[in-house]
Amino acid sequence: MSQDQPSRGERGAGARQALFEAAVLPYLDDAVNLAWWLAGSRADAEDIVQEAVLRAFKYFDRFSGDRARPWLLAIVRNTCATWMARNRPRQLVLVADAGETAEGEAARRGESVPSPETQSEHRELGRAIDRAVAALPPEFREVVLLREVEELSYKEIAAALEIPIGTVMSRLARARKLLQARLKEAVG
Amino acid sequence: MSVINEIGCDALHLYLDGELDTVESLGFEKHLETCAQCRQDLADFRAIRAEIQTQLTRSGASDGLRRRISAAIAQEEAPASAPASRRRPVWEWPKLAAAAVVLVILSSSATFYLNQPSEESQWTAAVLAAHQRAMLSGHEIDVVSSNRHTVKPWFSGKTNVAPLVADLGDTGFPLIGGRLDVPLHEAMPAIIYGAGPHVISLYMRPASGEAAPALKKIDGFSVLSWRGNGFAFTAVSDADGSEITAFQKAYAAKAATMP
Repeated sequence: MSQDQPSRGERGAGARQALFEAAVLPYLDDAVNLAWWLAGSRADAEDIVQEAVLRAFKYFDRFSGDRARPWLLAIVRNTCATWMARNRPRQLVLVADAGETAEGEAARRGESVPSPETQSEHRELGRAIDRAVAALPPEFREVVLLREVEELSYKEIAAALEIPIGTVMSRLARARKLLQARLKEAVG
Repeated sequence: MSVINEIGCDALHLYLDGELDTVESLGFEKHLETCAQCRQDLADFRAIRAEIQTQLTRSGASDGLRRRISAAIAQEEAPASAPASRRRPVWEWPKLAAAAVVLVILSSSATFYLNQPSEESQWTAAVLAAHQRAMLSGHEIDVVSSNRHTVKPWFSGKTNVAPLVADLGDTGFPLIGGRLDVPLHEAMPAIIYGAGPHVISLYMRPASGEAAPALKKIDGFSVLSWRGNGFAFTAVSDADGSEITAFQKAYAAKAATMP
């Protein structure tokens, strides 16, 4: 009718945007919380989430429509990993020099020396549980967050981290043991 | 009614996380009756969960972030609607004209081009970052195996690249396993070899032609790139240049004998 009427293409695109925003934006707080716990800084977490949401929008056509939350959180976690590799390479080299191989080694490292990423805002937090979670090595911290905070299933965590389900379980087991020991220490 | 076999301590986390079916859960509960350690751990882990869910400090999205995201998505929409506009080619012209103006402005400042990293160097930086990330997390290997017939199939369905996994035998570069990395936002195989105390991550992506190995030192890492056997290879390691070069020779020699 009027010339201001949007074209079909434009309206389709607007609908895609609306659909995306309805599916994904309700989980923005979860996304920021996860990124903050992984990256250690609120400013970085917001940058990471912005990048992740745009990436999600780009790949929204591939989203099966199954569960938007684990899908978004997986993208946030992976964006976070590439973001940290890109922006904090100097810290990475330090740990790479140690040449450890097994998860057990990483756990030991996490107990004795805080990993670089825990030199973060989380260290300022007062609660024992905050400090215990912050002190976990990154690969243990992320499974705890995805499982206990975001309540993803093993299958969803395995998909997000691209690791076997058995590894999800073994990392959770290690992480819980570390938290248990640290919290007992804090109380005793 | 003893169909419920007792399930041992290993199932504790599966039980706690609701990953067991009803029968298995009953089996584990039977185990709990006799295992004081599991009872204690279960109580502790449940308390930790409760504490995390109620006490852990949380963060959330600021209003500023919500605004920035909405604005950025709206802006993304422009290129996303481009395929639709192919039906109305007349729309392309204003965009092309705008692009031409931008191009003229950009080319007046040649540094823009000079600073633009090539695809090749982007790839190198991405695989180096992926290697470093894996070393940092202590997660060097997804599939641990010195058997190439185990390593290669592990990747199928996880990436579009079928890697060339060579067993280098007793050359001093044992096959350790494989890892799935995501350089440049695409899942790619990394084949992991040992080199004394060092680890070599070998990345490969399909490419034609041959190119002799070129060694670079980046941030203390040795990065060696070459082409052949239908791939562009990049090997990344903290081993020194001579070692990674020796690895490349052994790998290329072996690859030449493989179908």
